[in-house]
Amino acid sequence: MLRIKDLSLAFPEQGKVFNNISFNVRKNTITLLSGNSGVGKSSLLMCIARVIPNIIEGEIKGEIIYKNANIADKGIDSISGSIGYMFQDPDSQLCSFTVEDEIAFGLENLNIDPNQMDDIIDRALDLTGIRHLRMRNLNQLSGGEKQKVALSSILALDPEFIIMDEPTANLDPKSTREIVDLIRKLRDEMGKTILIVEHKVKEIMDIVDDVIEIYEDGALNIEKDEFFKSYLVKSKLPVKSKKSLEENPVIKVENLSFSYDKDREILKDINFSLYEGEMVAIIGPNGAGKSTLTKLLIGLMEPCKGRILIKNKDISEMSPKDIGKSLGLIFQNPEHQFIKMTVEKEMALGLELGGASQEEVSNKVDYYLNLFNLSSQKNMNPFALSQGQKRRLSTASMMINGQPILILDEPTYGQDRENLQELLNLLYDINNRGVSILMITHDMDLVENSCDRYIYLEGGQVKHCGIVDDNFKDNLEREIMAYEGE
Amino acid sequence: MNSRITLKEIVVLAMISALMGVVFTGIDSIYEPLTALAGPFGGAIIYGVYLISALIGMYIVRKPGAGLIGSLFTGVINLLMGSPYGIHIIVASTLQGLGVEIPMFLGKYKKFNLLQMSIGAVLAMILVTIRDYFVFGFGMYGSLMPAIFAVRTISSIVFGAGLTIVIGKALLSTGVLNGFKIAAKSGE
Amino acid sequence: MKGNKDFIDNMNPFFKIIMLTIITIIGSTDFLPFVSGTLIISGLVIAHLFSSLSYKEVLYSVRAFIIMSVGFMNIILLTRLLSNQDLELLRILGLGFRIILISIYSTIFVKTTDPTEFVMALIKYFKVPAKFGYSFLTAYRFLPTFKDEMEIIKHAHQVRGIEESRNPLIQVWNSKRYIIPMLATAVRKGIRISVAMETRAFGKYETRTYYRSLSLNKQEAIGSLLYLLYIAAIITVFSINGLTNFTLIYG
Ligand SMILES: Nc1ncnc2c1ncn2[C@@H]1O[C@H](COP(=O)(O)OP(=O)(O)OP(=O)(O)O)[C@@H](O)[C@H]1O
Ligand SMILES: Nc1ncnc2c1ncn2[C@@H]1O[C@H](COP(=O)(O)OP(=O)(O)OP(=O)(O)O)[C@@H](O)[C@H]1O
Ligand SMILES: [Mg+2]
Ligand SMILES: [Mg+2]
Repeated sequence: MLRIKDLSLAFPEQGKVFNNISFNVRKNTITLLSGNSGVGKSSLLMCIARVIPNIIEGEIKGEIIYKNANIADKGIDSISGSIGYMFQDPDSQLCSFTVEDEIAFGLENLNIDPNQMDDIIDRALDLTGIRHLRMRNLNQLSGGEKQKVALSSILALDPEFIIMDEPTANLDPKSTREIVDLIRKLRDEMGKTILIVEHKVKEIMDIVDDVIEIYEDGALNIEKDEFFKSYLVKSKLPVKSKKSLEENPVIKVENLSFSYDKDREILKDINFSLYEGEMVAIIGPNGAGKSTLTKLLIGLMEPCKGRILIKNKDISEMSPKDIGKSLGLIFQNPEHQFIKMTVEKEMALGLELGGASQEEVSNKVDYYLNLFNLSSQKNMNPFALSQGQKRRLSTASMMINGQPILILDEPTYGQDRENLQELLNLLYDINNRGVSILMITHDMDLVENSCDRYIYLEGGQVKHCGIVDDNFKDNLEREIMAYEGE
Repeated sequence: MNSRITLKEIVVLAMISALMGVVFTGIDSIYEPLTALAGPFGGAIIYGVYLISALIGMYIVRKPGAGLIGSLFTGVINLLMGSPYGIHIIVASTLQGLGVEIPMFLGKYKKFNLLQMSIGAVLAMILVTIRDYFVFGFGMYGSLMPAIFAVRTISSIVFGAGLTIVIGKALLSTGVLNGFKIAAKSGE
Repeated sequence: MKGNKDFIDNMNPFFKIIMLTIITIIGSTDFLPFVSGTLIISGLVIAHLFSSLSYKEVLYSVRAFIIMSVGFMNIILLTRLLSNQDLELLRILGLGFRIILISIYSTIFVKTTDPTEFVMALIKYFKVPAKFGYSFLTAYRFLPTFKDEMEIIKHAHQVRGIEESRNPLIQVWNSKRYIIPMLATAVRKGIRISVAMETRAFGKYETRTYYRSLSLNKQEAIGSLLYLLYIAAIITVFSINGLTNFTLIYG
């Protein structure tokens, strides 16, 4: 179906990304493209979709043979409609206002008769199981729903070959399973060929046929069973010994309620505490209100009811700067907190504002750059980094300040396992030195290995909470089932 | 490089306009205390900010029509955000866009330095001010008019052209503009 | 045409754009307050009878402009008072009403018009190229996102210890600090969306079809025409009595 031969790519400013990559994708299979963060997986997919160099500049050498024709020097319109391209950020691949308009968009471009569109739209929505969303406004959908709309809009064009860039990043376990099932269906029932980049290897390993690992100087077709076996061994997350420290609350949330508008209450009467030295997970489905909660904790918005105490002080009486001194928040979108124009300066900012000496700053920054595997990017602009690199930078620039409380909103998304392990070891390290950590995540392995307690949020309410022990996953499943059965 | 404007550039111009629409509503909160402080001069002092959406599009894309398109997108967005000027805002946008476009056209879309951008900004301001004179009772300010005009000119240069260039350069360094003409460093 | 509460909401945007244009022209050429005053009231009544909007809703969403227009009138009055010129109260009132008039009709237009249909109308009747129409639509969808993002970024900067200057001019100059990250995101989103559009064959062929069909409905045409006649009648009556003063040049 697809053959890549000696493909190399260089960006005008950053220089070369990868070299001499060769591999094949067989018809009607699911091929997983694996490789470290920043190695160029997303860029490779864009080369295949002709996005590079047609829309994004880059210098390509080598051949991309799709259905016996070399497309390496052809334009996007040579493959549009035949290769579907779905990317990670669900928001930036939708271009209209409602779900049905979005599906119709591609059909209109292909001059399909409007009278046939209704049927095609229904069928495309049925494939992803979202026919009930047909008339909905795109702005009111959750991330997972948007991903499904994006996929439907591609399926409506009936492409033979679909490439996907981390389609489940940011999705909760349930939506992830749904998307994975869907991908399986695409291959088994509809005869599609799929090339996918995905960091959640464990979730998709059952459906993958071939695995290709990308390195800077080449690619390897690896035996998949071997890959998964060694992956499971290599990716074991470091385990933290569990503690029970319910003495000094550093954050105390009391009867907290919040709504963005009058129609719908997003958080309903939330109560919980984070105790000094603890590592606690907040889990729950997409749209449960987790990020909203972090925004309240950092004082970005005011609660409608209830209050939040940080070290026994009501945050409504604290200035943003004071809140920032005791609490570091790593936002779900790392770009929201970048201020400076280079990675190095970004890291130094907090220290400089804190009044550290030149020498101290530069030593500490170098140390942390190294620790977070960002040394060679130190003069780059934060916005030019790859997904995973950005995440690490935002985490590093918060951790370097040494606040006693750290809140992380999905620290693991877009990370390969190696970087994740490093990150966890760092978190354990500061946690041992007394930093209390609140972590929002969809990764249950992570919770099991690293957190002392968990808080399960659903529909804006704390539905369940408890300590993380060996039975954690079973307990959780039983509890959630119980709620769903209600 | 091709001088026809591409789909990518048009979408990006539209996104910038939408963003500027939001930023302007933020800036309105500065506008009010300024008017309270400096009366009719208040608006004139930050007048230049409103030119950014026409200027920044031109500064980044550097192709014929970029200024006009960016400015018109901003106009329609403002119209749909419920601007009190109604269809008028489209007239103002067209004038603004033309003002930015003219000096670039004369310079064959090759020069984009502070001087060139300032000429564009001031010209845009003059065209819109003429419209204000006719429609929005600018003449009613009487003898204060020349002074207001002078303040608007300075503001167009500092907050219009100057701020646009600073923002454009910073944005360039983020790497997101690779592939736009500004990244080819033509005309500086 | 009896008190149909969705009539204006369902109307083809073409008619509404024409109407808004005519109102804007009238509003901005007459500078006595009488015609605009009457049209303000009739606009409110029409919206109440023939659209899903209530008086309260319309007035509430133009409240800022009413305040602005009052402020505007006061400032002009003040400057004229200070520089010892004729006050010309009526003309100043006309000027203030003009802002309210246009903003009320704009609000009715915006609140009853689906952005997608608006863009379709622009493409179909005003021959705006589809490239521009869709680019606009896509960007328009991001307004609320941009609003949230701005709040978050501003706050994130504060929390990280960056202090905002008290001087409003420095504030304006420093606004680039949060404009730049937002622009970077916006530009990148724009690029990705254009990728999503082109990989779904946008612009591949010269022509494209449209799923939503817009047609010019007879009832709507008659309704619009009746209102235009009403406007014409008002202008005539007021003109005869010397209560209008149409001119392009103000002041
Ligand atoms: N448009 C661009 N211009 C210049 N450099 C870029 C561009 N896009 C990506 N890069 C750089 O190219 C390298 C590869 O990036 P890419 O996004 O393809 O990585 P990735 O393998 O998908 O990583 P991740 O798993 O973190 O998403 C990175 O070092 C990145 O900084
Ligand atoms: N600015 C906003 N205005 C209105 N509603 C919002 C806003 N932000 C979020 N919401 C809604 O609030 C609910 C909770 O959103 P939130 O982002 O807190 O969820 P989350 O638990 O973080 O989800 P995810 O796991 O997908 O990140 C969602 O239904 C969302 O649609
Ligand atoms: Mg990637
Ligand atoms: Mg979230």
